[in-house]
Amino acid sequence: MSVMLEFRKVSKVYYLRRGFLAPKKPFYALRNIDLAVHENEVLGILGESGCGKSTLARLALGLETPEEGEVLLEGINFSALSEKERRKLRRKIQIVFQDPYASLNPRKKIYDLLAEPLIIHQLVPKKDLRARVGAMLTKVGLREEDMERYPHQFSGGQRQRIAIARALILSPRVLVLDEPTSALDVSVQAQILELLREFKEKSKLTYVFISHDLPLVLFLSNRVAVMYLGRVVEISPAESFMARPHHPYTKMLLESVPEPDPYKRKLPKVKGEPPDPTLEFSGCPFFPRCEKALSSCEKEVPGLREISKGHLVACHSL
Amino acid sequence: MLRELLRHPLGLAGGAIVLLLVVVAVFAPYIAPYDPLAVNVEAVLSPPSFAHPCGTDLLGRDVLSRLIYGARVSLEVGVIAVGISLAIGVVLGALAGYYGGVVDNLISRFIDIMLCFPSIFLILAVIAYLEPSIINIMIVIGLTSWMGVARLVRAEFLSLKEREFVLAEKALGASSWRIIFLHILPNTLPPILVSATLGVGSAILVESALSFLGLGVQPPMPSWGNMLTEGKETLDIAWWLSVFPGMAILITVLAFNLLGEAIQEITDPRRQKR
Repeated sequence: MSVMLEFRKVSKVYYLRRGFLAPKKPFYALRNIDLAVHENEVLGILGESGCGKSTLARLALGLETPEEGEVLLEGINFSALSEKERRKLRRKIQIVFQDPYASLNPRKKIYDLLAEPLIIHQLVPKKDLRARVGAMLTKVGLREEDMERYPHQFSGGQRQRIAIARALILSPRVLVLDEPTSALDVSVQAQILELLREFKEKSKLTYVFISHDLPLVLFLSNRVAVMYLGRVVEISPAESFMARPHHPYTKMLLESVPEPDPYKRKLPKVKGEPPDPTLEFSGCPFFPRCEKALSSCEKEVPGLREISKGHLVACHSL
Repeated sequence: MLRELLRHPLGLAGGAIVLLLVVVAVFAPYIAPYDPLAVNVEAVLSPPSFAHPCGTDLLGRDVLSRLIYGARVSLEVGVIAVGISLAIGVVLGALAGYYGGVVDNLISRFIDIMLCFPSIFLILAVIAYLEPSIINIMIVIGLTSWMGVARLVRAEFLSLKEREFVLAEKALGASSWRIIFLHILPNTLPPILVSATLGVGSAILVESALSFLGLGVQPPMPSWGNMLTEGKETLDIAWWLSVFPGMAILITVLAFNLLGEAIQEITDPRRQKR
């Protein structure tokens, strides 16, 4: 399997100014990320809000440049390209955003929204645009006539279908899904996931599926990466993810998944909150919340170690 | 959009008046019952009658005919001055709002400087320096009235550029040009249109004021403003010389405002019922 998308020692820093005249404080949204997404796989990325998931998505699309390290799409480094070349390369990687109410321009008809990517990249002659847009709409389960309507005339699920159609009309190799279902009703979530799975099987796509919802991630993914405070703390094949021992943080996440059976229900064991991401500390980022913390955890950041085949964990206690 | 305007009562009224004014201005020579410059010594200061529906002035000129020709001046000044101010305001506002940082700082400070001058005095000073002519007035009004539009557009851009659909456009590979003009600008259109129609109204007011002060359209050529000047001399004996030009200004400005607001309501796609 060849590597489609690769993060090599990537760090992304934002500078925050706290108050007037106060010096700007660096804030590491991502720290030293090493991650490879293989062709035709679904890599799930799991983490709490604020852990850097969305920053990861923006870097993957070359919408932001990392301060350290490089992001490679099919071996091409985004930061080495000119703005124009970067725009061209984006044809190969597309994104579906979380909120389909915000990600579609309210003043454009569906036809304009779907034809635009084709026009930007000059992929289809003008006379064929209508037919292509119509075909794409049918593929995502909408009707051809819908192209004459405006986004506000659709429900949330339908809008997300439009957003998916818009991303896929360019036939990208990689599709980044940034919480694509978290703004939707549960019943609609299932339909969208089913649609995504269908597309994946038909057109040999590679997905990066970002979510905070563990069951959703496991449903679609081949591999799962767990993020905590801008770092990847565990990478595991999806099958062994539920069964094997994990990073203490992953365990906590697993235990916090709501249990549908009320007789089996127990209180979630989530302890503490993620610390302030602007604080500097030398040890493991999870140390303040960890049950298994060792003395070394306070001083040294654990690196990712392979504990079984394809299963990497960053923890001193394992 | 036209069909929806027809269903909007106030907008329809405003639009109808504006349309009427345009027709009157364009076909002035055919509509006006008299030559606006023709002096008639026998009918000096005659009150409104069938022969002169709006009366005559000190030189016996027909006030209605002069009003009709005055509409030409007012509309020309209004539309062209606003055109100039929109061109400057939209471009500067869009650049400042979209790029932010140094660009925004430079443009915003420039706007502040321009706003420091009381614009009517600035216009007076410039016109006193140049010669008073319609073209100079249009250019000067345009050059001194773009700041409001620029601020409006900048503010709209500041909030719209953070919207997710702009990020989605970048992700598709759209250029900044495309994002600014095809995606963000159409979303700022209703406030721009409203401000433009209000702008036409206030440009007409400024022109009237300048002409009133003798620095605008020069007599004997009629404009609503210089007709008011002439009227104020005889206000106690000939009310019609002031009231009719005043009404013309009032109704015109009001019509543009009504039209502007109607356009705002109609262009909001969320208001469409279907």
